[in-house]
Amino acid sequence: MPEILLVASFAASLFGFLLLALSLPRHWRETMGERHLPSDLRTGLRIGGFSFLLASLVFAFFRDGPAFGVLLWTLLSAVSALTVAFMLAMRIKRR
Amino acid sequence: MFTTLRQSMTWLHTWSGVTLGVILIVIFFMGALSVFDREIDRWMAPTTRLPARHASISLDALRPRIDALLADADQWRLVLPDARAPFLQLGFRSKSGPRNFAINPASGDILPDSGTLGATRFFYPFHYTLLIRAFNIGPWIVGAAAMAMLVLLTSGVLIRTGLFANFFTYRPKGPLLRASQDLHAVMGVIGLPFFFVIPLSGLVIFSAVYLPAGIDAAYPGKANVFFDEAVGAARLPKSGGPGVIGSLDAMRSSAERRWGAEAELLLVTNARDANAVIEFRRNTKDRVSHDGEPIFFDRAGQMLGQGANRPARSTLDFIWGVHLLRFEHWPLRWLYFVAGLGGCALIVTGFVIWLEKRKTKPHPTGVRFVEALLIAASVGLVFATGGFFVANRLLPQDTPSRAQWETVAFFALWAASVVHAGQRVAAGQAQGAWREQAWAVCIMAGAAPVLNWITTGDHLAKSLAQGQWAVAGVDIGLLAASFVAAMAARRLGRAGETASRVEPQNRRSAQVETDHA
Repeated sequence: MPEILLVASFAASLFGFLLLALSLPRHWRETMGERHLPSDLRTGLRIGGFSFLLASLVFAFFRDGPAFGVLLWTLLSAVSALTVAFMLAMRIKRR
Repeated sequence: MFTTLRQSMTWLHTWSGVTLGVILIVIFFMGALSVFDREIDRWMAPTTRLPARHASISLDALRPRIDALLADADQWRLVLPDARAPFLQLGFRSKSGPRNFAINPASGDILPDSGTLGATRFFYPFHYTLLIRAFNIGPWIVGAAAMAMLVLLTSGVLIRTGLFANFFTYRPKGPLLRASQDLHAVMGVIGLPFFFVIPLSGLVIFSAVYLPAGIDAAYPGKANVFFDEAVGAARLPKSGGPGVIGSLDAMRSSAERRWGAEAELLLVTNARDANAVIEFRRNTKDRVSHDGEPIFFDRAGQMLGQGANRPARSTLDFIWGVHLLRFEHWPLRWLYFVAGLGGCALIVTGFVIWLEKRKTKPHPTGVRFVEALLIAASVGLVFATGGFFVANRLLPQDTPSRAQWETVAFFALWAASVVHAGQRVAAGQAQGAWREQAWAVCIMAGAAPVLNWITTGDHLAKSLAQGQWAVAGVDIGLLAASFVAAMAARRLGRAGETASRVEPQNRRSAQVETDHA
């Protein structure tokens, strides 16, 4: 169970940061090949992104309680945000 | 001097980084290694690679042996075994200086001196003292560097354009300057919470050293009284009459009942006196807070008091705990390690930005000096650390002052790296210096696990099969370092070739320029 929650917390923050990255015009353009990002979609992506980050925090809390949970979530989010940055960079390289 | 905030912050960021960055790399790197200090200790001292025991050992049964070692020591401490350090550690101050013994919990035998400082007595003090003990200068330099880190982060955030728009922007394919700028900013922003909290909590840990005036004003010349009162320590004056300490096992189980947790540490003061005080501290492996909740007994086992946990003290204990990570939480331990190495990468990329920008100036003063220093402080430091592991396995066990020779090996290799980097960079072949030192790291880090296999028989497959995670983990870390170094060296080689093929003209003129600078 703790391992599942750990993976869930990481996956949720990874997905959350991916959505947040897509809500930025630069990355939307690069990944989707479309110039325009409708503002409704942008808002949706941001709400979705932050919701997943929140879900990641909740998973971390359930796994470890508030004290360890905050530390775990902070560091896991840093790793997942950096992973998203590297994923976006790799995607540009391939195209 | 500056017309805008951005200009002044850029100046501050640049120059605090260039002046204290090298020290920060060393502190971050040694801190990252200290995260796994007990594991590295097991690797470096093979006699302590004992199976973890869960049954608690009788302290009273060990007493005759401990008393024989203590002779007439007045104070002593005993660290009880745990999963990461599966043996007892007895420490006291004798007439000939501080003494330390490791005791096998299964047999009660004293483990032979391992002849190494290991990580707990080399990498860890390196992290917060730089091993400069004279006049307490080391911690002050580290404190200044920690302050600089906070300044660097604040000024870095203030000068960053498009903090959120460029949150994930990393373009590794472009020119080196832009790729470094991207990576530096992305890592700095994403890792900001960690990079801010770690130096800040480090400063808090040493606050009594850096800001002694407050304590000194309220407790002139009696700082120890302040600390005793702060933790609610019970102290008894020496009576002068002799006394014998009663059952330690009874005291321990009484303390453990109160905590509902296991004891970690035992401290005895006035050991031979009728007024002996025995202090037990609990282990904190299940909590962030570094709060041992000390319980004090007199020699008959009567409880004298329990450490009071006031709000200010518990806040401090939490901040200490965040930095010292004495808790048992493997995912967090790995994340701290990765984040610590990330701190090194952050500072190195910062230097690369400064160098690349500076090189385009007509008179790039200091570029060669800083680049040589950077090579020695980054790859050179990893090389010397690899050499420390190799020396640990190569030096015969019966070498006189073996631990000192390991240290000598570390600093000799580091000095060699400085000389090599200086020479190559002065000859205008900085890229060659980076590449050759990366190969040196590859060889050193790759040799250490092989030497571990030859000298102890614990090869990776065996330590993995036996569940010796500490030994296996260090081996894997060394092999990973070796692999990464090889990849970096190959890339540097390729980049050097293409650069010389594509723009021989530019390189030659750059060469001439640096020679004239």
